[in-house]
Amino acid sequence: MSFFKRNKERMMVALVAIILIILIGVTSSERMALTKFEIILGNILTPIGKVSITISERISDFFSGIKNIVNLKEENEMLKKQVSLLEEENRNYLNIIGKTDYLRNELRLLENTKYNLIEAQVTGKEPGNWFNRFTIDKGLKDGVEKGNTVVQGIQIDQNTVIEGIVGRVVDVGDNWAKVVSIVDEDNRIAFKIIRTQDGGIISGNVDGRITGYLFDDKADVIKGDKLFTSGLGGAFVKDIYIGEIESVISDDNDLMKIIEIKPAIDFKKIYKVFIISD
Amino acid sequence: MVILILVLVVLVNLILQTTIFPYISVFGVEPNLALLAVISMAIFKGRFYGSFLGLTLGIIQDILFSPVLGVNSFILFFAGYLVGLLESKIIKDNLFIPILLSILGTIYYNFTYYIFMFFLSKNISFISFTRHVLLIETIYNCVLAIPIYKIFSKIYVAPKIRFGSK
Repeated sequence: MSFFKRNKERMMVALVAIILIILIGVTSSERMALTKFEIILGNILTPIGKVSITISERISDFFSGIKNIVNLKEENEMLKKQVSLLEEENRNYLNIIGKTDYLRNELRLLENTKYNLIEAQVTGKEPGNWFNRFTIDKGLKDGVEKGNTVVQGIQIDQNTVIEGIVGRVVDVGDNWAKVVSIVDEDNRIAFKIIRTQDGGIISGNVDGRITGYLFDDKADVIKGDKLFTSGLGGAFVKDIYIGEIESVISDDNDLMKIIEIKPAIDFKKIYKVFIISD
Repeated sequence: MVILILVLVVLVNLILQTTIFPYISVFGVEPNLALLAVISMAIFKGRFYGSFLGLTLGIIQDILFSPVLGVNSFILFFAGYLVGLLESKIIKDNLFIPILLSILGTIYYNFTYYIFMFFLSKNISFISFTRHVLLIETIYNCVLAIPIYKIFSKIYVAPKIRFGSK
């Protein structure tokens, strides 16, 4: 026994290390639900995070407000031009809808397939630069489930317009949930290009870009093509805007077309998100 | 007293790191406040408190954010323990010590993280990570190490006795 007594401290350190490694091994495979302890800890820490993130949002808004004053006039003029342009475009579309019964039916279909959205606030972001994850303040009590798709949207007269996809819920507690965003390396999304209906897969990168490849190397893609989720594999809800293509690199050796995507959302500034619950 | 400070450090660190730091990132890279706090704690209070703080901070981070539990706890626990082993051998007035330790600590943290991710079969290129993230993070961390070390030294170093008025 004297061996154990002499090396008590080292034994303790080794014991802690072994326990942690076992913990990593056990939790690395897909788990069904969180343990009780995790849920309780999350319940306590979520309100604290909510308060402090609201404060930091105000502060950063204030500073960016000051920065923007200089550009306001220019921006105003540009926006006015844009509004008139959009109005004209809108009139054209309305014309088309009015003319065709077929399109009217499709519009009705689109209106009926509304998602059930839950509004949530971001309460904290994962420290460190390896992954891109955050927590939100809605959980099991509000109907959030593991695997739900998270999107960002704008509320206009009780109607929510979905701006783009943010990520996926990976773990749920009572009143909080963990979300993995699409710029994370861990996430892979099946997409389709709205113009040509070509499909492929994209994933995040450690340096914050999103890259992917197309299933068909002869597919016709150009810069500026819009990407939507295709719903293949069932991980994400179908037909949600992801972003547009920033560059296309064709690799003749690998017989692949690699694309780089500019997401619709600024991932550095997410405060409020919507969860699509099925 | 020590426990009160520990709790305070854990809470303040968590709030700053998860809410404010993402908004003051440089080139999209955030500093690692938890690592710096653990290193400073270990320099002043030795391996026991250093490793204990590392373990607590790491477990909370793991539970709140990552699907795999234990990676952060493991890395921060050993950071606290290893730095704490040096506690009696280093001069605490020298500012060079925390800077050097924070550089070594950042490299150690990210390299160990990479090894774990490799065994968890996450396909991440370490070279691209080093080029885009690790370099900036190391600089950011060693700049930030100075104020954090100062705060800890205010708490732990007893005030000098002064005679008469200054």
